[in-house]
Amino acid sequence: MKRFAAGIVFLILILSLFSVSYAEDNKVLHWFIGGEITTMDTTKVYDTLSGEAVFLFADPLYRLDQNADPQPNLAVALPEISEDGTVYTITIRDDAKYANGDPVKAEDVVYAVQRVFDPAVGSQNSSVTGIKNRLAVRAGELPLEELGVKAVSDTVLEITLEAADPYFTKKLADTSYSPIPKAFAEEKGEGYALSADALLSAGPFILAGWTGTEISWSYVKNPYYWDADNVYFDEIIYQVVKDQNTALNLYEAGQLDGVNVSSDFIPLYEGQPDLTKISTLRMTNLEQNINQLQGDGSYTPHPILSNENIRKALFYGIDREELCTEVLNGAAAPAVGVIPNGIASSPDGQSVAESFGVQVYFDLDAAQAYLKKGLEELGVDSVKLRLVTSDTDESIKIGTYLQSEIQENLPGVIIDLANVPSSVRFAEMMGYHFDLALGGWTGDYDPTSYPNQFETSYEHNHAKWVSEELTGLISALNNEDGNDFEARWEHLKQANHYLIDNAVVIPLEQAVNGYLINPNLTGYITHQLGYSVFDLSRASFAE
Amino acid sequence: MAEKVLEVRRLSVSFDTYAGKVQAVRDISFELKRGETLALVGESGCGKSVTCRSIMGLLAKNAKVEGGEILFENRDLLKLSNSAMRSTRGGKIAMIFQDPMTSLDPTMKIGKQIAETVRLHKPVTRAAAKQRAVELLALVGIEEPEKRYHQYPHEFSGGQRQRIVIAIALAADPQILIADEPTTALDVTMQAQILDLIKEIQKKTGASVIFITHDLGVVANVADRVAVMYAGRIIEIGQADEVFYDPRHPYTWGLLASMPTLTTNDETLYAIPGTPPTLIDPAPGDAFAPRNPWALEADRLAEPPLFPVSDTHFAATWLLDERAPKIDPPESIVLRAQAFRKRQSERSASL
Amino acid sequence: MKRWSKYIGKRLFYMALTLLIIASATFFLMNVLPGTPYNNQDRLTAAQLEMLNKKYGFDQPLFQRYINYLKNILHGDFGISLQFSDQPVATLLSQRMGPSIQLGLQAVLFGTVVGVFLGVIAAMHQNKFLDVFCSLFAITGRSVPNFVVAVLLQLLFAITLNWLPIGLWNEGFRSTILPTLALSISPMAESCRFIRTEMVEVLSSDYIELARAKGMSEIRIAFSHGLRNALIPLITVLGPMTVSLMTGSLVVENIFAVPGIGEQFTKSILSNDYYTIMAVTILFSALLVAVIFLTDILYQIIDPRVRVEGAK
Repeated sequence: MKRFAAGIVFLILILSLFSVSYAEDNKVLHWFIGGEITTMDTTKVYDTLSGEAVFLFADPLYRLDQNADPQPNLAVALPEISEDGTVYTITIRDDAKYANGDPVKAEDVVYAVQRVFDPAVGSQNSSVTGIKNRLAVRAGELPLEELGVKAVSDTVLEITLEAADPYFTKKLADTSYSPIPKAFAEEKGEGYALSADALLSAGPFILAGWTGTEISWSYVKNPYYWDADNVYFDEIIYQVVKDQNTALNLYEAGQLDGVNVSSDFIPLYEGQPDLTKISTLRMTNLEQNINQLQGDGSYTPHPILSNENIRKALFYGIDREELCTEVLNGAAAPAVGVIPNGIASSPDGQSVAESFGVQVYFDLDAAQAYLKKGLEELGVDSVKLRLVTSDTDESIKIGTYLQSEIQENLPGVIIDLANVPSSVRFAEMMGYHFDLALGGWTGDYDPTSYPNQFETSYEHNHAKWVSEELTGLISALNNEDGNDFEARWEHLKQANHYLIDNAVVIPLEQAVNGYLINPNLTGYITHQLGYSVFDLSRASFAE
Repeated sequence: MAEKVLEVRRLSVSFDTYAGKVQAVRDISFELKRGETLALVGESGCGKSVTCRSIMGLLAKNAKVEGGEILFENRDLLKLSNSAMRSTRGGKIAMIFQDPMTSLDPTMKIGKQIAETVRLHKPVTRAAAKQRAVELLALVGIEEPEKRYHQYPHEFSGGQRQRIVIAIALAADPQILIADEPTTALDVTMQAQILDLIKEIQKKTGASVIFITHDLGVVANVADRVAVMYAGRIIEIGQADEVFYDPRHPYTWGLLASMPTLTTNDETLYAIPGTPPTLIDPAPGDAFAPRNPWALEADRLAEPPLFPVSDTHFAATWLLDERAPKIDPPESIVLRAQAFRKRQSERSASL
Repeated sequence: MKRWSKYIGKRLFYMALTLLIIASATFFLMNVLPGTPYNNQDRLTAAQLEMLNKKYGFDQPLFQRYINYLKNILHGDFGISLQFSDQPVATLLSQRMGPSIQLGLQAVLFGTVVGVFLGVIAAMHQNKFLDVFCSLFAITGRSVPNFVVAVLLQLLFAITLNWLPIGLWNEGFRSTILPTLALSISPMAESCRFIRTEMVEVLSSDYIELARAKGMSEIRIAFSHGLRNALIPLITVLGPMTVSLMTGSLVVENIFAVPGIGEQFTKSILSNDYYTIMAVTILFSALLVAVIFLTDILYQIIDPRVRVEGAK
């Protein structure tokens, strides 16, 4: 009996060897992600990692192509927009199905968007903007039905905005606009999206093997997908690898088809076909607390940074080229202004840099002149400023560089460097009581979101800069300009210029992400902005 | 009965120390006969322990045997391989240690410690070894041996532990027992008991005993023959009676004189003045000379050989040389000798 | 038996009390942490923050939250993790704890066994080549951080020789070999040094001399008499060593992409994930407390001289 059992076990072992090789005949992509997923609920996604993770099983209304233009996806065509630009009518496919065969309906998209603003759901999503009544709904003042999203029929959707937004169609490419069947979600209740079987996919793949905390899971091709014919891979396996070295090793061993490469390692792969660099719209800025919050709740001007000449000295005293090429090894591009390059084109097709001009640059003489004037005005020989950064490798590098650069270029300025955990830095900035801070900002497709950071009433205006002029410009952009592209562009230009003229913030660089990607992989789309960097849904291996 | 069981011939042992080379044992020779008890007497550092460790092969790592032989069962123990020595050690020649409080492994049951010795030297089963251990415990006077087999050392008194140490030594039926000051750490009543035990065992098993001690009272109790050591040499050796009652070496005189007796009524005890030499690079001549009130010029120049006093009694002192001046031993010694002879004659008269 | 049950009962009570104090102290301390538990805090509006705080109950007064938390624990509800999409913390722990515990135990077991062995050899060859070698090894082991060892092992065995997987916990036992080795260097060095010191002392004891006089070989003496006595103090440090390995494995886990919980020790604090902080603290405190308790019991079983108070 024992020998018989042993024989069976032996047989199974032998067979399992074969099953492994059988699986290799499947078309499998091994992809990488830098950390665990914070959520698989499309309505709660707020970060890049989760954005990537949900993208493969979500089916948003539109998908962005390589030019970042929205293309119909679940929607059959670009939306019909009303005269005043506030009402969007969208028709969705009638052949879209969930992974269990159920048809996708317009009301499922409505339900999804309602979840984003439902206080009971508690989403941290901050990218779905513009929809009418969203703030009141989220604050619990209005019921969900009052949200400006309605299903007119099984296949027609109507979205009402508070003000015209020329970028709204692009924003519709967000996975938040992916359908969720209400009955299914309510049945799962609190457990919805907490595991693979608490999700119902309408997208090209179905999530498998995820129960909440895994560091490896997979996406299996969804046979019900309306575009299944164009989906190449049978399976995409995601692997969380937190250590850069290990990730690179796995890539080189062929166990991963794509990994990210940090600035330290980019030089190693320079010139190889595997290396892909993707510019992003993530700004890294040197933020200044110009008006400080005091203990009694009042604001007083910062003793040093309220002096415009000092600020301008700092602004022009930093060599951003050097920072990007030498310190960050090409993992960044010098900032051109407050609004990043590549986010949009001017009405006559020029890039931000071409149209606004490069307003941010290094001018040592000018900087030193500003410094001299500033010190005179303050009546001191030297000033000391504390620069707080996060304690990530990159932040420490940039912080250290800034310290030595400023102290060398602007003698008389002493920088006290503090590397602290992100939450500590954030708490300091939100306390509106600091000197200098290394901050990052990623807006959304509307360039307004960048200058908006410094609008007087905005919480994340860490500088606490007060300006009626800026508020006026932002208000015009949000409420008046509507779809008048020229007016918009003009106001954006003015806002950008205003902030630079007053040296409210010191833009440093725009991040460039490095990746090693299997040269055989084609058909993937990379995004500069938005939560998903890679759209792998139609990717394939060149045969 | 007079068969030789162990012979030490011209043994010399030195130690490599930081201070220099210490010659701990210098050219000593003696025999051990079957069934007899030989006492090795002397001050601390005279070389008695080193001698015994040489016999056991338990010398420290910095020790060097400079010369000599130790003959046992027709083999020179000094030339044996490690494994051959191991089978002799504990099996044929066993040792009893001085401090019973630290001689036993505190984490192992005492029964096992005995049984382990049995199994080391005899091919018996565990059960048989346990049986033997229990017998040995009974032999050495531990009550309820089956129960106490399973107990740990800390559950026994000092005297009992020493008995256990003796049991371990006896485990493999040794021919020679070396007892290294086995009663020094015990109180007087315990002492007596242990000494009685050793004598009893000797009678039962016919083993020979080398008894190391600095206590002459103990010697008187147990020894058949006595060897007195000083500074690494045997300076007097003979039958117990001979050495006690007719000592010839000034050092032996000093030793005996410093022993309090029932008739001693001086307020201060006599002690031999001075201290033994360090034995690093010893000076020529008799090592005892500096402290010897009866030292001759010759003592400073050359080491005296062992002069025979009788067939069995030898002493290494120039005083015995026929050219030496005749001197009398100290009074106490003379008195003791007289008293002894008187008793002897009374005894033989009463037979 | 009665003395044991009384003793155990008393100890269990004190263990529970200790855990309660630790948990409470952690709870109150953790509220001093700056920042919010919301990872997207850079972009949230004040209104959103308010809404979220209300949803998760963070707007309630501190003491009220404390009481609620304690009540929930008694029902087995450890709250939800904000890092992990509202997964119940209990799920998070049960899913991710396994690998860390496995690695910790394996590392301690392997490390201690090898370390003890090396320590005995070193003690037996005191001041000679083997001893010096072992001492050097011990010093190196304590000085070189385990992640350096991890990377070197990965480079040698996984990449150059291709004998073992680079990482990813997906090849069963083979995946555990390299991380275990990396983690075991520390207990190995510690045990080696410890045992060597103890053994040197033990080997100069009288009872070892007696064992020699019995005719036992040096090796046998070292392992059957010497080691028993030298091991006893080692047991005292083994427990905390194990726990510290389980909690300190974060970097090694990252390097080998092991789905463990080591990272949560620091990450939960850095991201203000309150419930995870509490659960992780309680878990490891419980482990430590339990291990100390077991050590005490083990002590009494192994060393016959130590006995429970109030016993015969």
